[in-house]
Amino acid sequence: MQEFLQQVLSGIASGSLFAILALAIVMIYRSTDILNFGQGEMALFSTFIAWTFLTTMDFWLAFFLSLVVAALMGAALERFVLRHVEGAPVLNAVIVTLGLFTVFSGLSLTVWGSLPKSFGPFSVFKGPAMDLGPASIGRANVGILVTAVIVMALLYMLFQWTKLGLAMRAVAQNRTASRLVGIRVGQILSVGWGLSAAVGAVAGVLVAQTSGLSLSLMFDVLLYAFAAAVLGGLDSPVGAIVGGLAIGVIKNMAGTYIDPGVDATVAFIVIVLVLMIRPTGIFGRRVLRRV
Amino acid sequence: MRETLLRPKTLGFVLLAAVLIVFPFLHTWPFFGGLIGPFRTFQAASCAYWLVILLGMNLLTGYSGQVSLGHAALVAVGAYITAILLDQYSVPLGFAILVAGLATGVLGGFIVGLPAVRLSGPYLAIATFSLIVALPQVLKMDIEVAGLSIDVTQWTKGTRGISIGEIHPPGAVDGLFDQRQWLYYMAIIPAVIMTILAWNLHRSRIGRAFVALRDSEVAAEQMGVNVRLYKALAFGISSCFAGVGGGMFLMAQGVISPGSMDVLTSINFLIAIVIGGLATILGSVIGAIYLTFQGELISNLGPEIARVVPEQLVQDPETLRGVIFGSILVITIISFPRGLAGGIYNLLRWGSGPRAGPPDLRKSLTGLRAVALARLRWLRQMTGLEDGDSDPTQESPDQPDKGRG
Repeated sequence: MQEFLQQVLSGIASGSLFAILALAIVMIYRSTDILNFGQGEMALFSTFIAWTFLTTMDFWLAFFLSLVVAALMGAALERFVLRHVEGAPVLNAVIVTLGLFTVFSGLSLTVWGSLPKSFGPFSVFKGPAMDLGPASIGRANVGILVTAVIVMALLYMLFQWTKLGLAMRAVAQNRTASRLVGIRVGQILSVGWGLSAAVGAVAGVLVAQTSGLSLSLMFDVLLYAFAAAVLGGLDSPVGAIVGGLAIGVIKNMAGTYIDPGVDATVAFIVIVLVLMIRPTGIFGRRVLRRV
Repeated sequence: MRETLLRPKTLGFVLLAAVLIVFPFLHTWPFFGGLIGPFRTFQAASCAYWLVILLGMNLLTGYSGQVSLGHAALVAVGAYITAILLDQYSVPLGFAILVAGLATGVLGGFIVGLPAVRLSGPYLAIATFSLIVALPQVLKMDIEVAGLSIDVTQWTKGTRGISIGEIHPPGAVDGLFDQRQWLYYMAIIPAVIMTILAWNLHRSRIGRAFVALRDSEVAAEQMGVNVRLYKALAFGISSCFAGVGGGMFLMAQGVISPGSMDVLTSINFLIAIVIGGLATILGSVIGAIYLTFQGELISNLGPEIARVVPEQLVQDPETLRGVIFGSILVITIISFPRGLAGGIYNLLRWGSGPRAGPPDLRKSLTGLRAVALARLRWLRQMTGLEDGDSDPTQESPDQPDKGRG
């Protein structure tokens, strides 16, 4: 029992990383219907920027500065790249994000080289493992979970309580109608991409806390984040968090109780089974089809 | 007879067939020898198996509109079935590839296609993606669960994979071809057959049902298309192509292992058909050429960049390869929204008649509006509501567009 609890906690810990990147993916999908394959590498790039800032300033300042840079970068990408495939077939946008994937992983290599960098853990994430009765969880993982929840709460407040959030929800639902009531759809889309890139940057910094900063940091996380976003429902931020944690736990359970060599297989089998029952994910909205 | 032979299309196909037949000997000819080396023969064979795979994928994604991100897994299944048949049952190669194609088709249709019927868009993409993510683990599986031992490695040989070695021309024609030339013909024949199959399929009842499905599922259902059946069928046929392509891949490479087909290969298939052109045979051909030369292109980019970019600016200019390659991808798809094939078709029909591809909805709406307004004007004139000169509706059509941008 004790070991079981411990495995659940470790699963939640690794799942929190998937959850937060899934949150960024869901944000873009909600407002633009685009699955952003570049999300992971954009996050990696921002994390490298944070690392550069860290050489001259303290953690929090560097962290927030890198978020600002990431947000500007995301908004600029929407304005100058993604805007050109608006109205084209959906797959074209997917190919563009795949191109972004290559560009950002290439840029990271060009600017910072292929050697891994040491990155944290920083004071908030450091310390002995926390004892929770029969099981314990690493301090860094608690920090990641707390951050994920804070980010989600902030996003919730933004979406529900501010005029900007209202506009973003309106654009996500019906672009033409939003334009007709005077929302500047282009600006809102840029803001959406900027926010999503910033959330991705948070994810990147957090992932680097536990495993150091290297070029291959985000690739696996991205795969599972996609799975998490789909499992929870692509238009549901809560779904992204739940999906991420669920995948973390399932993967860990399969690795421990069946065989370490089949953890991904079992995780993806579960995802497919869930999709069989709920084709748009656990929390996803059902879409009505019209002719 | 003479007239039909001289039609440009017929002539084109005859010329193409001639080039395909003599291609492996081109490098031995005086003039062409300087242009292409013997290695190109092998690359042409690679191009052939990519073509077969992409034709199937285009059928699924381009014609029936179901996005698959896990196609490489189906290719690997085809390659493994061929390899196991050759390795453990020593059946003839051609027969093995045929069986692999049919078996992969059945597997893909029932195991992937039937469940996939309920999913669409990104959900389907990620569900199929799980195939290729899980595949390496499945191929290496040797576990015991609840007293039940599952050992896949006795068939797949685990991480090492299965090696079948090079194929050689049989005794009767041994002196005529060398190994590469023989491989070329062995690859180009099934590629041509599969291309003709795909060509005929997309003009058949099944192909039209796929297109109807893609454009509107509900409308297709109203017209009497059995949506579930045809969606699964699209997966089945596409998997069949993937299986044959996998068998050809094994034949050319001589070895298949869990690392042969990975997540990036799978994603590259999707890039290839979109860059090439969805729902066209030419698009698959361009995609196959892209897959064949992609690696070479990227590695040749390095020195070229180093020549242009000064070392003071970037420490190691060759690392810019990824950036340049990704940018080319983005620029290509922005410049050619319907893929390179779409661009070529537009160029061919430039100035003569309507453009290729699906109609532009916004334009056709404007057309409809113009017709409606003309009717309205006519009606008003007939009923004497207005005289022909003043027309209050004249300026309205453009106004909604001005707010855009």
